[in-house]
Amino acid sequence: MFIKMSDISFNYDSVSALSLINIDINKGESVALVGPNGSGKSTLLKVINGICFPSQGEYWFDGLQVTEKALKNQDYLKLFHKRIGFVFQNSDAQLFCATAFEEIAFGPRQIGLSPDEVNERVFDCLNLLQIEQLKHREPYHLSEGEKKKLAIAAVLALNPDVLTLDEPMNNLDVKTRNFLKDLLIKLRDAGKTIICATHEVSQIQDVFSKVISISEDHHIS
Amino acid sequence: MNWLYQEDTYTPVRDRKLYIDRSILSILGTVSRIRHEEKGHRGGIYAVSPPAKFVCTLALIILFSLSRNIYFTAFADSCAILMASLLVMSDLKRIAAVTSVVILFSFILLLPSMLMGNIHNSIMICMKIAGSVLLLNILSHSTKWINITRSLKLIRIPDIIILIIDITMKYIVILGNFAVNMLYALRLRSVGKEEGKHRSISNILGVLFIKSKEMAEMTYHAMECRCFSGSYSTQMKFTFKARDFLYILFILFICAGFFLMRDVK
Repeated sequence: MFIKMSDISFNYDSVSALSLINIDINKGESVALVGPNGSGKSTLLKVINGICFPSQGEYWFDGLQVTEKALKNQDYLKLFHKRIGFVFQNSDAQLFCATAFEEIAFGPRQIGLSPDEVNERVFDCLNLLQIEQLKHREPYHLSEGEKKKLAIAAVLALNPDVLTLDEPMNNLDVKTRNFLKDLLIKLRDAGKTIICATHEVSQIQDVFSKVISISEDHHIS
Repeated sequence: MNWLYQEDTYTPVRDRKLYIDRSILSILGTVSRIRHEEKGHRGGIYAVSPPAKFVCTLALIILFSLSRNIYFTAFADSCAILMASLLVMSDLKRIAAVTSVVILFSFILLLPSMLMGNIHNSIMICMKIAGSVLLLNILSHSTKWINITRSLKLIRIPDIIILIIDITMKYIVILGNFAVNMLYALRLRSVGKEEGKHRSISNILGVLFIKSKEMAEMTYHAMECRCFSGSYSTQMKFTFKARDFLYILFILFICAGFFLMRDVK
């Protein structure tokens, strides 16, 4: 099993956000997390990405248990973050570089690729997301759809094995939604593991092989 | 495009990355300190009426600054410590840490004066600073911000200023959360060695500045749409209970000390 969660619970102070969650995800599988607002989808994605740590239960990624202690090992932490990419719900929170080009180049530069390889990855991602014309623009001046595409490009540039997305279709027009849907299908077919949180089931038809539904009481229903 | 369809063989390079975690922790600390107020009511000094606490704290700070008597200053400091001991342990620890740093800092600043022989006054200034900081911390830790700002009405602060302070508090939390999310995003993509670590942080600060400007404009437009014309009125509810009476009695006891110890040498 590539990603395995057993009896995961998470609380914000005394408020429960996840309760006894059990999930098994195979490599290359595309999974939709559906559920109403406040059900804990975003929290679950944060746990998967090692931003939050469960108060109870076990989380295993590719045969290794992910714990706060394990992620204190800098080498493992970096490899873990390299292998799992996270597209935040709010793109503004994810974009912090001066230009779109710099934003996409940030990850490849981090992993020590040569300038030519960085350029190749950046232009490939710009082409894939069809945002070549934005390469010199400041991220905070872009539209919501453009920001979302840029955030996805920035994450894809690291070539993660798992792509996690938090409500990627929110605030997007129909054209951009359809574009993202086609992109997810393309990535799925390329063998990427995709985990996507959404509360609109209609958007995810044809894309996902598995649907995990989280109920309002934070359990898997 | 082939790289996207193949697995990378990547071995991380060792690098210090504590600065991101430290930034996240410090922002989370501030945000949670303000959010902490959303917790339910506690008894004791926490339940004393906010306007009473606000006025009494103000009065004591004025007495601290007026006092020229080291005995009163020591007496008032002891009473402030007694009040602080009524707080819960987590608040007490935080206040003790802040006050200790302030005392140390004051002591270092006044050290040249002490070396010149002005020991008595320098010690008294340190004691006054410690008492005032302690009282302010007791007020801020035992009272919700919203109630402190409402209490400003008692000293004739205009309602519009109270509104500005309220909005500021709200946006400290919102922008704090936003900053934490940006730092998380930075941490998730900081998978290698980065030479200009501080550049990323300054980028985040720049985005935060722009975001706060946009939010300010949006708030202004939203207020205009709801017929805001520059005037704003706040309501303050004042209820007086037995614990308020006891609290005020204790403060009056300290105030009496100011007059009774005036001539003690």
